[in-house]
Amino acid sequence: MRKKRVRSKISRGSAELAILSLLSKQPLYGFEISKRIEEESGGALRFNLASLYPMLYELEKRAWIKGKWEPNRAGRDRRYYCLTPAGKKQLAPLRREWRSFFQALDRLAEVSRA
Amino acid sequence: MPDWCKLVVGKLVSSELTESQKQEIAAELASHLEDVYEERTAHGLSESGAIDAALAEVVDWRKLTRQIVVAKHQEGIMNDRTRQLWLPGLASFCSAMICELALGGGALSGESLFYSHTKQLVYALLLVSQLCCGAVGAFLSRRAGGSRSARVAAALFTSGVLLTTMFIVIAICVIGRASGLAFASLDMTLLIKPVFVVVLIPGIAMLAGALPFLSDGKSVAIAR
Repeated sequence: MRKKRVRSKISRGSAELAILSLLSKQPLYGFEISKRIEEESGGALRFNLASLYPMLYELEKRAWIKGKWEPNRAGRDRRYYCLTPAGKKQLAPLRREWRSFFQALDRLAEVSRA
Repeated sequence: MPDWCKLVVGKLVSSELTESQKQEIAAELASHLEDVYEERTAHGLSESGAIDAALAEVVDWRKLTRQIVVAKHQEGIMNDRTRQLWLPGLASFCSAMICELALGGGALSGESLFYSHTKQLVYALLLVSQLCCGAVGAFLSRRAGGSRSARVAAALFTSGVLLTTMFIVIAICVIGRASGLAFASLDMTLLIKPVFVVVLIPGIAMLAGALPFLSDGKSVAIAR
């Protein structure tokens, strides 16, 4: 149970970072976010609808991102998410935390040399 | 191609979402399913195969609805500001007040401090206790994930409250003097001295107590 909770917390934290990092480059809608995460992580990370939207709504509730309906390139309305100033503020410390986390893990388990 | 919106509306069963929320969420989720469907058909999958692939995006609609309701509504018992600023600040304030009452800090006036060794000793003890109270505020704020400014604010909460109170009293006296009221004859220096003795100097002690907790420490909190 505890193992599952830790794993879920780590994946949740990594998902937040992945979404915020992507949105820091440009506004994207849900499907684009999931595609971009899959592509840019080389398939290592994958979000489906069920895992993505609760996270987006959670980040929106925290006012880190903001959704707005706009037509996409095909002229269909999609809800584009962009990073808010509060979200931008969160990104740098979140990146630092993850960097420290990976460095700590690397020191401990020599992950980069495995 | 199925009517994705109708399909999602039928699956999102929750009395905790308003009709407009439900419509907006359904429209968004439906557009995602539509995109998945179109992507799969573009990759040569049959229509039924693409529909199955889109539907496979969600295994448990009830669980997803619950997660969405939580994400949309649940604020939690406390929001971040309460946990990171108000509660640590209040804890620091209460402990500072208890220490001050216990040591009789309120009776210390600026002038008498220079003449009484006992009062100087009591005041020194008071400063040490305020240092600890500042540390308590900053520590609790850091534990709740507070930013550096939140930790400083929590540590200096007591000074802030006392300073505000004193400014209000001084303002009332100034206004009273201008209006010719009875208490206008109060010596303003009697009000200003405690600002240093009870607020500013203990504030510096509190800030000093907070210093060890202003760094982020070695532990890393990845998940929220």
